Amino acid sequence: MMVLLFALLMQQNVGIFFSPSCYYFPSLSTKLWFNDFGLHIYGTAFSYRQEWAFYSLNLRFLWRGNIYRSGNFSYFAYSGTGGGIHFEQSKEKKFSPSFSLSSGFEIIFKGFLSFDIDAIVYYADAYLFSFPIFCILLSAGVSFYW
Amino acid sequence: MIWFLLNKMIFASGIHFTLLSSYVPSLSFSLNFGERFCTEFVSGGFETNDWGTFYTGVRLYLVYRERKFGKFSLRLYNGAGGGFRRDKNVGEGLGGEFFFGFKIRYKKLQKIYFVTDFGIRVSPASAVDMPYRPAIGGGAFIEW
Repeated sequence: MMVLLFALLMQQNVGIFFSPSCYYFPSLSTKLWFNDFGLHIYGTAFSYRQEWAFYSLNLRFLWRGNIYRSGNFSYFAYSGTGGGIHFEQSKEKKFSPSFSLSSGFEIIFKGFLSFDIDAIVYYADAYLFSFPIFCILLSAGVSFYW
Repeated sequence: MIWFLLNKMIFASGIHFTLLSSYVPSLSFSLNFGERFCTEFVSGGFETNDWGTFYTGVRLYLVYRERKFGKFSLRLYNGAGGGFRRDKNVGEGLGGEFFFGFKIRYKKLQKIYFVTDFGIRVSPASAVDMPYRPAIGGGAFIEW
């Protein structure tokens, strides 16, 4: 419990993440960095008139390269892998685990406002589209370091 | 621990457009333990011949470090809430919300703060038939 509270209080980054795993819906996103290793949790839920519903919760382990600084900006590259759960109402198999592999780039303005974009390979059996997306798609986010 | 929390109590009240109240202004009573741990009781309702909504619930959130931008200060918070919601002609039930947001204060008006939050709401009684959806909210408070 204390470890969880400590992690919450030491949290460094919270924001919105747009990802193919969430059909590019705005997802709540939080990143915890421990030196060069990070934990990224993001997820969202949506349902509309009993016609469409999905829930997605993802967790990724990240590791980053050197941090470079240039004026008010600092930037670094990172890679990540992880998994989660995906629920899709319209599929026969509604629940499935998901898997993702990604690599991206993060730019931080004045040590506070952060933008990140990454290429992600996402796989979930319950994914709506016919390709369970073993292909590379982009995700992006905006967040605040705290 | 309890004595420590009691010593840190700050009361505030105001109006909060919560994620769960469909942007009907909710009266809010807030009990904050220092700047770190905040609780909020919200209740709001509105009714016409065709449409009506009522929500009452609680919100709990943790506030993080302060950042100053000129005469303004920002504190980020993360939290969750839940309560009872009823929509005329739709139904009623328990709802919930997860959110992050900012507490904004102006340097010369330290007793007043504004909040804005973004999150995911879960509400079986949704007037627009979207029980699960991302949403935004916000409000204004006076400490006393």
